[in-house]
Amino acid sequence: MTERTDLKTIAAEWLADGKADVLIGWQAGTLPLAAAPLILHADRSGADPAGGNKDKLVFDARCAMNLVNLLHKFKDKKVAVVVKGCDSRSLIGLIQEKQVDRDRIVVIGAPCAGVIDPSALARITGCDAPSGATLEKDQVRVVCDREEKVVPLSEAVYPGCRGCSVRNPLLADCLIADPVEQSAAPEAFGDVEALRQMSRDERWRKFLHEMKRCILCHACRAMCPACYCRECFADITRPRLAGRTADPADAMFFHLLRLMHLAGRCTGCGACVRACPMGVDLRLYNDFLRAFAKKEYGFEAGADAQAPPFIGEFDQNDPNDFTM
Amino acid sequence: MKENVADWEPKILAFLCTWCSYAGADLAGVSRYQYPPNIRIVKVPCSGRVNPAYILKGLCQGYDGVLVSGCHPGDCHYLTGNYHARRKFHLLARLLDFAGIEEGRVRFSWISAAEGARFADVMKQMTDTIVKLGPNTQMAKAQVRYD
Ligand code: SF4
Ligand code: SF4
Ligand code: SF4
Ligand code: FES
Repeated sequence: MTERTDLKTIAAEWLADGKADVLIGWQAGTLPLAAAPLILHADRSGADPAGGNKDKLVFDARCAMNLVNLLHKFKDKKVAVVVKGCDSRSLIGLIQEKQVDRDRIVVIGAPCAGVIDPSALARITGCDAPSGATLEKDQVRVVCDREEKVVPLSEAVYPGCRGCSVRNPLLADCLIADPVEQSAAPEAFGDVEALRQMSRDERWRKFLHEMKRCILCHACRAMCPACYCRECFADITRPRLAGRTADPADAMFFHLLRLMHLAGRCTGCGACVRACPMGVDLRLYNDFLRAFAKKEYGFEAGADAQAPPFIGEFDQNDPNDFTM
Repeated sequence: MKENVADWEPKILAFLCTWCSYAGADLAGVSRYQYPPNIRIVKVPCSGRVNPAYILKGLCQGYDGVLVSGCHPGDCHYLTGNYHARRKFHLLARLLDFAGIEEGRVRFSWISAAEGARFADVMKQMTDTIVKLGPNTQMAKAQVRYD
């Protein structure tokens, strides 16, 4: 059984005894119900190894950001990182792809009951910009136009959090709380199935509708733990491969090729969805990839650090029915 | 959608593996099999060399269809190139389908150096499909229908 400990205690301990040079966790953000990353450096000369900041560490339903993406910034340091269940899959993916050395990372596991989706909250309360909000144990109190509204936490979380089956980290050296209850049913990919049942024209309309809104800001790529390439195809300029105009064809090229790169690698962590300023429905297409890898090849991203990669591997009996 | 069909001739981009399908095209030629002249051939060393980016870029650049053809599974000159390619192409085919791209714009086939007749046949089928579909207005730049 993984050791149970308190977040601040373990942070202080690991930074003090040299188990970690850097610790990546969350702190309260500047907006209500938001959290921001907190990076603590070990300073073994002072009395408080965490520089006093460790008291700012938090973990609750505000901590949506996937901190695993920040590991790329500390390539040769010993890093302690706090991961939720879904984030742990991103970490496993990076270990599998040899982007992260397991021996260099200490993992603080945070069992998670779901993180707050601001757009869900806005939909329920009918208010986009609450003047204040507080998070309580299993409800959110939102103040809109001097009126207080209470929303149960289970309704305010991201759609993917609701039926989540990886609430408890798959990989952790210690846990900061007792494991939480999680769904035992395999993911159904209901939205993918629903769209697949529709006509080709309806699928095209949906795709075009999403692509028309994309402004090619590349925030989805920037926040994605699996998008760590030093030079992305979208940035190649000699010759330029990916167009960057407002023509939806350019957005289609970027997203279809990015999806090709993410097959068997996207864990569905949702970092891209949260990053997108245009509300592009990236989740649907990511879920398509995950459903494809699972159904056609029995492959699941972020499940097994020892498994061979999905693309780059083959079987002589792979499906051939799509050829002429 | 088919406004300019009168003066429209389909443009089809074909990536052919030099060891098999390209040689198959040669054989079709020397055997004088007739096939439509709408195919622009790019010779590649192996179907495994075809980056999905080339296929998508071809569509964005205005090609009405893209075909990739390599050696039959098991016959790749580099042993496993087409096995690797097959998984990627399977994914791309299903992804384009999920995005609602018209069926038949992008196709994959295995044609050996000995299959001149089959080569001509596949080219005919491909051209027929594209003629039926009309111009590529889904992904070609400056052609995407907004409605
Ligand atoms: S594509 Fe999105 S959901 Fe998938 S791993 Fe990257 S950030 Fe997470
Ligand atoms: S989109 Fe592809 S090339 Fe670009 S960073 Fe992601 S994986 Fe790398
Ligand atoms: S974050 Fe959204 S708008 Fe920006 S490139 Fe990604 S999908 Fe497009
Ligand atoms: S050499 Fe023809 S497909 Fe590899």
